[in-house]
Amino acid sequence: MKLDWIKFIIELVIKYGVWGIISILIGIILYLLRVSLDEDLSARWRSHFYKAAYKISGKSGAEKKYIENDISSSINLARRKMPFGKEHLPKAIKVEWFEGVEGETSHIKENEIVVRLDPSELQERNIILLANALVKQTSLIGIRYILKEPLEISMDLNLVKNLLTEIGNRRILDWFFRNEYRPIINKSDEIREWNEKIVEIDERGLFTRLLLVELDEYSKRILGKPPHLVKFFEIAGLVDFLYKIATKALGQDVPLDYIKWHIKIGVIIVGETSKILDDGVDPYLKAFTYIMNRQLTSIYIIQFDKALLGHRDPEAYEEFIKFTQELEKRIQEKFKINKDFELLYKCRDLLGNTRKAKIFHYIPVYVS
Amino acid sequence: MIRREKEVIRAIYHREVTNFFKLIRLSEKLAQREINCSICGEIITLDNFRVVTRKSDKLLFCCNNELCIQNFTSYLKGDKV
Repeated sequence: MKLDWIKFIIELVIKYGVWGIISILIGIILYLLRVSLDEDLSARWRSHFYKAAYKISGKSGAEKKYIENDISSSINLARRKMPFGKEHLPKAIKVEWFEGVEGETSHIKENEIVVRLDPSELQERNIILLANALVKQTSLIGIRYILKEPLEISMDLNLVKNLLTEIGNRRILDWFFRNEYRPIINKSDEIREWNEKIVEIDERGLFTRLLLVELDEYSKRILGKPPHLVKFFEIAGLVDFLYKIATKALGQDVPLDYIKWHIKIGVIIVGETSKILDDGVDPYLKAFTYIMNRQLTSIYIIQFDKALLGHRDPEAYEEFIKFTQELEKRIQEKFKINKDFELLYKCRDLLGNTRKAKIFHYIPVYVS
Repeated sequence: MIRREKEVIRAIYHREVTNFFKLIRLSEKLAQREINCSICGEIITLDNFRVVTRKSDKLLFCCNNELCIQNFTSYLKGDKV
């Protein structure tokens, strides 16, 4: 990759001479401008600078700056690749060094976590530690007191796993799987069972794009209400409902709505290419009408493209895309709804094939 | 520069752990091996100390065992149903 860039720059200079050099300089200025406007990218560059400074000088100040900038940039840039509905998850992180006045223990606030970090040579461990802390402090807010530990641990583990995966450093992932993920899921059958469900939901792309979105809404609905087992069972039921959808075989019927006291959601799956190609959009519009008639508060449409359809039968693929666009247009025309988000992503199906998918979230508007 | 909402997490630099215990006036207790991990009961030392928090005005410590850290941070989130 780096060699390609060098080759490209040399070719540009040879071919266009002075203008080539000017173009390169403009490119560098634009990149620097982008870096200066993006605090995570600038933290990344600062971390490179301080790492070099530390290697040369061995000074603690440089090592601290390297550790703090590297953690912030790694986690925050990874976080930006993680969807949470139309937002990102979890919140950005900022590492601050503990500096206190002797005897003033009160500056460790109630429930605040203060962590001891390892030397920069063990930076992978520092990143994992803070990814864990960040996930626990900033996600599943408002429902943690309801969740039973095995489910809560499974969701946290998968969020941390996703965050670390987006960082793209295999050493970090190896360490995480060996020292945290496996030992924790092997702690009890209950954790293992919940984890299997969350993993399946996540593999279909429905963990951060649906489950966590609904749980966030749920936390708003139950704000100020005391913990009760019924609430946990509502959430557990939602996970089971999504697990059945995530593991649904072709042609298998599974429930497509989940109606409880605080959660009322409906799902429409556009997964069988032949169905939409043969029957058009009408069956899906009927399903949407049915959901609207049941006064559900949240509707998701999940489209899965056939993985190889575009290569095997480009015409059918074009037709499929045309129908899905028509479905989206007709839904917007026919129903009183607010579109919350539309996200395109890639996921793995039950057979391990990569499939393109799209998820739409609508919030119906009912006139009473 | 665009500023976003951030979670600030305070950290202790590995070369300043001794000073940290001095700051919170627990150096003596640490030297006398009187501080324990709130999860496994292991004696906290300069080498195995990993996390500290305050709960009901009391400082709680956690050692560097991964399972302890996991349990420790879960425990902080309060009572379960």
